[in-house]
Amino acid sequence: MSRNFLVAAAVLAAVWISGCGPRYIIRGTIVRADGQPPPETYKITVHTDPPTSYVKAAADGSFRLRKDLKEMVDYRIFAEVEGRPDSRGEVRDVRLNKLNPVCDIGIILGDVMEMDAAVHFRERQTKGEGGVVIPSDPGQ
Amino acid sequence: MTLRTFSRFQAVWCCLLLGLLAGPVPAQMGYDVPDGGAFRYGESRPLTTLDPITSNSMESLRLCELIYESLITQDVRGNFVPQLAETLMVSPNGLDVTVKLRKGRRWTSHFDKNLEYEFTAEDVAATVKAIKNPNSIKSPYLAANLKQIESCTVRDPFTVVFRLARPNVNPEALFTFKIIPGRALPPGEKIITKSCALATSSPVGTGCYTAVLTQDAEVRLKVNPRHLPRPAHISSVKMICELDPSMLKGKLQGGNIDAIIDVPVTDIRTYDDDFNFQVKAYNSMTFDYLALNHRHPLLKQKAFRQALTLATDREGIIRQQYLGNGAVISGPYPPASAWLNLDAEPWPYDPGAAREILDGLGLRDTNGDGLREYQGRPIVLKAKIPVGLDRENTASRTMNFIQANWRSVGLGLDIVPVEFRVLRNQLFNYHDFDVAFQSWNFDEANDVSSLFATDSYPNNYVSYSNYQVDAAIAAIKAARDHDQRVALSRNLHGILRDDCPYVFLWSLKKCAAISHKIKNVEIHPFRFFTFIDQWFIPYDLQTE
Repeated sequence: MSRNFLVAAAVLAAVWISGCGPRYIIRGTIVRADGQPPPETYKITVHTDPPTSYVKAAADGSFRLRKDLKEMVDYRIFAEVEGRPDSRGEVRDVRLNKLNPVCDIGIILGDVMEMDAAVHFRERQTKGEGGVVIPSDPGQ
Repeated sequence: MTLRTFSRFQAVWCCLLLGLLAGPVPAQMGYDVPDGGAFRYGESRPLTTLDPITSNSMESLRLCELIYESLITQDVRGNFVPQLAETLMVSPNGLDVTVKLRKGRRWTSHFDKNLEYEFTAEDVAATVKAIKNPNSIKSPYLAANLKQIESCTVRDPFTVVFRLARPNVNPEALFTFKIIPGRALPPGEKIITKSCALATSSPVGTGCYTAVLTQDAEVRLKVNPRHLPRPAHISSVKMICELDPSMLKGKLQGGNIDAIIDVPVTDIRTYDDDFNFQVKAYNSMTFDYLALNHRHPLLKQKAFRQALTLATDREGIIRQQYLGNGAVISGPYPPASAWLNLDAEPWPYDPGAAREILDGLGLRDTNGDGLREYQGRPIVLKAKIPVGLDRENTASRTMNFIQANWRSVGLGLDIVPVEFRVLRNQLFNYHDFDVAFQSWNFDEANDVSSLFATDSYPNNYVSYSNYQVDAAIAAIKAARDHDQRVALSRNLHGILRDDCPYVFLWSLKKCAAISHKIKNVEIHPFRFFTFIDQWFIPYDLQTE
């Protein structure tokens, strides 16, 4: 019986360990509602699991952050601009997996500014070689 | 431990563990999933072929996903999983791959019952032989991929052994090509021709749907009742082609179709706000670019190409033409690509710097007509854009914007709309262009080597040649270590960013708009219909 307990514990540990790891890029841009870049540099707080990371937005409003997140379904991620408690935006039920990892965050900063961010899965399935490339019409 | 020695207590523990491993059951799968109903979707381009070996368009590739299967496919999480294969074993030296095939899979044809027989190893060998046959017509990517397979030997009716050209410890991706029925090919020397039954109107596959009507503008499929492990839930699928995007939109909103595969980014908001539709973003590896013909005396000069990139306000175009639904790229890698080099920043929009470069090349406007001259004649490049019925489409508006950008630095641009099939022929076969507005779609491997290697035909239709790039591509192909390949690919990105073989434009957001009546929708970002066997329509919403 005790051996089965050990096996069960080992399986659970393996599942837990394998659940950690893929690396994501969180990137986005803060823009004013009128489409212009923000007039000053902002510090963005991105709350994820594992939790909070800080990233400084550049003068043109763009920011990016490398982060190791757990791959899981029904993810939750939100971001805010430091010092602007009215800036919080949130996306629920984000499906972060190897095939469809993109989500968008829309944040309204008061009634003045808006932030859009996207989370991109970085480690797409790239094992092996080969690959398909097909031409198509641009600008859909 | 055998089942017979299982105690009740142990069984409870196992159930508990399996429950933990399986995770939460989706709410929508918590009841009996209904079979039946019809799914109709719209494409903006007509069908070219239903043969998976020769198809080189996204419309065909998506339909082939419904009809044919491969040895290996991907699950919804992107992991490679067996499909027609049961197991795949790689020898310790990484050179031999033994594939055990599933039994009981059958070829299904609506048109020719003689072609309905059990799938075996002979079909796999015939497919490989046909693709490798130099006399066969085929999609260029398949030829490149199959170069890595040296031979395919039938060991028994359900076992094949592949010999690889080079060791490969993770060869799963090599076996995602579609398998075709050996008996549908001409006897003797296996060869695929345009007159081959597969390439015309009577496809034979093992997939979850069977074609019953194939025309350029409409394809109808019915569920394959003998598909294993089980038939798909939705009874029939219809593809309708509508060249005019506004007509396609009307059909979706009028309930005449249930989905648009690739929603124009300007319409995403419309469908998002409509409670009748679900907008599904899929992380497609796609980018738009301006192809530059390197046979042109100016376009073959690196500095001139850099000036073109600097003179193009890509951020502005994304904002104005695509409502911000895209990201500027600095090379042939969309933002989600594993090969993306984050340090390779896109060239900025800097018309001043562009003018300086052009001045430095001795290209000046000597007669004050606003256009710089080269060898005494004004520089006016010919830009070809694809059009269907919609001649005033997004492509032409985008090129008008770029035309104004380039004019501001003293370069002329004549925009020439060309019917999209004619244009592809002019580009790939006759190199008849200066500049062309085009797009590439990649699967997850995002392998760009065929675009930029000097001897790569036909994908390197711009006639680009750079020994540094050739060396970088060779090093990537030779690398066995994943991390090393990542580093080398990011280095290649840096080289291409500086050399500007194209004017790299942007990667636009890809979305499908699908009626809410279709449930449990998962989308493969490249092949789209990979998981359609799990889609279903509730009884009360089914129509035939």
